[in-house]
Amino acid sequence: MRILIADDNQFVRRGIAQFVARQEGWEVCGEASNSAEAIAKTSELHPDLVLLDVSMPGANALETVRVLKLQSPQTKILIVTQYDPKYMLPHLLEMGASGCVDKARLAIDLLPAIIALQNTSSLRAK
Amino acid sequence: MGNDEKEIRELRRLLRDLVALATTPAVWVGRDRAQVAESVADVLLHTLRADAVYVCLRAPKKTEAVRSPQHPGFSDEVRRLWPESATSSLQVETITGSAWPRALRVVMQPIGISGDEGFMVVGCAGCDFPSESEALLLSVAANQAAVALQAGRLRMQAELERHRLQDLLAKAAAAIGLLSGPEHRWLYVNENYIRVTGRNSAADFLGKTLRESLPEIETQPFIELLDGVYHTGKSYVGREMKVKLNRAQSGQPEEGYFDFVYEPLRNADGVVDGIFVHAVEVTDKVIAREEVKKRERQFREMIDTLPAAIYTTDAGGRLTHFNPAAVEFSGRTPELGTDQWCVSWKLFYPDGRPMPHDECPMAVALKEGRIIRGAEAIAERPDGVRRWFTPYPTPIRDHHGRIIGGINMLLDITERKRAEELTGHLAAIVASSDDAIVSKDLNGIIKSWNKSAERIFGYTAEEAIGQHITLIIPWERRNEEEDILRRLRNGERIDHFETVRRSKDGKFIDISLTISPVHDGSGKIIGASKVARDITESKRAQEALRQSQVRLSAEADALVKLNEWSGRLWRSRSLKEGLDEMLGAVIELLDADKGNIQILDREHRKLTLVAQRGFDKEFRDFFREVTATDDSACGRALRTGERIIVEDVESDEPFSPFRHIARQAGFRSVISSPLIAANGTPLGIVSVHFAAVQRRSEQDLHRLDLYIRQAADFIGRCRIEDALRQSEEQFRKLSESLDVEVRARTRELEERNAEVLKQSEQVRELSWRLLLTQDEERRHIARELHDSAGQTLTVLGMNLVQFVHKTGRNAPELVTDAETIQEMVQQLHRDIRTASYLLHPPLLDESGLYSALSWYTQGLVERSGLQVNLDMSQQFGRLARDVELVLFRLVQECLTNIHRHSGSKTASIRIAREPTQITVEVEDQGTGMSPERLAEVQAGASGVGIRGMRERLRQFKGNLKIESDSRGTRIFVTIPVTVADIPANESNPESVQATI
Repeated sequence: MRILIADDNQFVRRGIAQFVARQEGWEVCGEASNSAEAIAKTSELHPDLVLLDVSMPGANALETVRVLKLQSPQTKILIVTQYDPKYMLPHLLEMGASGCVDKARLAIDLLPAIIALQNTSSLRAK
Repeated sequence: MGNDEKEIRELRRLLRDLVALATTPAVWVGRDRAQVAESVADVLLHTLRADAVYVCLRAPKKTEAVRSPQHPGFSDEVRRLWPESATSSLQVETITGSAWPRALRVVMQPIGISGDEGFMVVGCAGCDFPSESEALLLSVAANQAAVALQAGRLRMQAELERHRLQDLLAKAAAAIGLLSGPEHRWLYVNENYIRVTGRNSAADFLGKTLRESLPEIETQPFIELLDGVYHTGKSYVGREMKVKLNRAQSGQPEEGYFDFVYEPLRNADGVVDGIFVHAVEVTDKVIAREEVKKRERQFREMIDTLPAAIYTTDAGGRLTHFNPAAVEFSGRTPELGTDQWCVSWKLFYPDGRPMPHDECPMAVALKEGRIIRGAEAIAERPDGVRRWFTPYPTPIRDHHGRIIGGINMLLDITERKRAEELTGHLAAIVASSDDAIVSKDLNGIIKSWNKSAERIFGYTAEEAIGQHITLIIPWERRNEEEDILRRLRNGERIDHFETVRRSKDGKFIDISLTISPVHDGSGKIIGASKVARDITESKRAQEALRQSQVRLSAEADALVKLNEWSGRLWRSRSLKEGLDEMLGAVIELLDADKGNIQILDREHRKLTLVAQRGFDKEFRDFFREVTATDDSACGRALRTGERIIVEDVESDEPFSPFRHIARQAGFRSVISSPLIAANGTPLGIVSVHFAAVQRRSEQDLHRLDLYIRQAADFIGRCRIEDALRQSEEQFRKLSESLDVEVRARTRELEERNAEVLKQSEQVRELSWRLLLTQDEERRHIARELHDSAGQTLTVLGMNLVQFVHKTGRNAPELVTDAETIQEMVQQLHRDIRTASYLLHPPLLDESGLYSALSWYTQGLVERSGLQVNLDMSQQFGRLARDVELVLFRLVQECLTNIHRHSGSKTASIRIAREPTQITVEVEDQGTGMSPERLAEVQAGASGVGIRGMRERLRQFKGNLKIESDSRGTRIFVTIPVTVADIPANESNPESVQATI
């Protein structure tokens, strides 16, 4: 699985990358530090999954999700957020995001979330 | 195994450092930039065991910190590599120095977003530097430094704002001070506070308690009041409170009066920790009012001593004051504030018709606003006694000319009226006599002509008066008239002169004439009175008639004289003129040789000689002053209050000590009559003296008494008129000075009022600015907490997992520790998030009021257990940023109050958007506020939170209303839509659409 990490904090990016790299068959194919970069790299790399931080500077979360889905419909989008996720989730799902992880619980929830996504998509593929 | 242990120790240390760094940004917050740079350098040197460290902070001023004990020139190398325009991302280099033992691996870490706060460089000899954890530590340190710098800037802004606030307080015209703690220790006093308390400088207050700084108020109630404010949290407002201060040069306590406010100050937890004191001195105002009252009292005391009935009323005629003479006059004690227009019981017009009180002269004066003089009326007392009086009503006006009351004096003229009635009666006797009674002057011109004269002589009074008396004298008897006139000029009286007169129809009539001279006041003969009797009647009756004629003639003569004298007396223009007139009349009345008048000096109880006729200097000196103990005729008359007649001084025993004086002065007989006023007060004595022994007829003495009564009445009137003139003059002067005083004080009060209004406007402006600053600061701190600390903690959490993953196999006992730390990190993350959102909910800016309130109420339900029902449309939409914040804070404040104070288990909130306004209703089912408490909150005297809300709402033309009863409290708020709508420059489509 090829994963694009979009987060404005390089330490967060690096942490996630190390996390992801430990899993067999997972690969970080690119990093982006703002919305524009995330959109550009997605349309270039067509990753299987984008881990998208919606609190990056200059970002309009809904608009970014909408454009990503438009450019690369196959790509799944997992939202990573500093805010309490329950107030934003319905709108983001509506725009095409597949799920959401609270940064406060990132260390615990990230891997299970990605694995869950992978399972649903492989189920669907079958 | 030794290596593993060492590694585990190393890792534990690293973990500890990381947690310490991430969770204690407060270490650097609050330091200045140089301190932050130095601290960062020390921490890096220590934590990373680095060989050299360089920290550079940029704007506004470059600040550097260097630690390179073994690497001279390290900083120069670093500056060469990274001049001020260093890149904004992390870089790793290797550098060497000529005197260094080894080359150094150096890492450049930017501080702040894109390195705009500066950067730091760490050098280590190890070739694997930096490891991941070292890089992580560097990043955390950079983040914390950025937070500290940002916080430092915010603090400086707040500091500046505080200085401006202090400056404004210092310049305020009121005396202002801040007290802290339950012992009331001074934190601040402004110049005016120092001035009004008479102290020298702020050093007399700051750091001291109220008791220490102002020992003289220990015995006054202020410390108790302050304790009350401190413990109840309710502000106290004092009006014109008396304060004794040691501020005079003499060192003696001096009294002053102050309007002041004690306002509790609360700390961030809402707990009272100080008191704000705001005082304005109003001593001048209070003293001025006391002075006005004192003068009013003096004026009333003055009125009370006057002998005439005097009373005052308000503009509506209600009695405000009356003097003892008014009680005596009206025969009753009037009721102040109830009785209207007049002190008397019943009133009548002079013709006897009843006069309603509201038509009395005082009522007319007040209603028509004019002074009334010359009116007369009759007052009836409850005991039936009637009194004639002349009122002197005068309206009193203020300096605008408005009538504010009235003053009236009632002058008793009953005695004068009685005398007038009597003389009128006597004149009627003359008019109705059967005899013709005619008077003429010395030229023979007819002056009066009665009915019988008309009947006997056939001429009417109009025809006769002004004609010469020869009108009725036959031609052949002209000589007779000349003879009569000659004898009259000699003062002779002609009795029963039988002669003939001619009537209008030419008939000759036999008449008997009695002719008497008429004297003027000075005793000069000015004419004659003639009584003519028709003696053509039966001779039998003639003698009897003649007798009665003589008596009648004398009586009529005396009465005519009495009438004339009385008229002259009342026409006198002064007391002096009246006394002379009186003396002349009495001497002539009794045909006396000498006479004198003595007036009683009431204070010394002495008679003083004021008028005399016919005495030499020796006599005048002897009788200059006489007391009631003397046995002279006048002394006895004063003592007994009755007429004293000494018929013969040679035989009168009590008079014996004065015989030689009488002989020297040349009199043998004396009559002394007391002058007694209508109310029984003795006024003086009139004495007449005769050269020969005298025995006077009852009729003479009766006439004397009649005249003396009028004389006493006249003196009484002169005295009252004199007193009235004096009191009117005093009253006029008093009114003028009061008027000037009142005008000056009014102007002063108006000026002070304007000043106070201006100050309260300034304070309002200040508190609004404080609220804004507070909001802005909260927003900044919330954002910093949320973003920087949150991100760091995320990374920390992930690194921990990595750490466990890497070391778990080798050191299973570490896993439990790491999981505990993991939980702590998550808890910390959630706590920081909640704290940040409560400071300023980001949802408010990004998603609007509905999202922010949903989040807040749900959180409150979880934290407090209060059942909150939020009734608000999801499609409520956006408002201006400030208005959304105000409404959010309003709901926050209300819910906090309900939770803390109401005892209610539920709260409901309704927010609706109407065509012209936004409405908010917050309701609870708690115990409600007492009416007193509600009134205090409504008046803004209490309830800091509510007042803050009113202040915020006022800026948006909003309105707040509170209702409270035993069923709960309801708060209604409205804000006009025109104010609440998003202004054009704020309507950023991105932020409107943003979901978060």
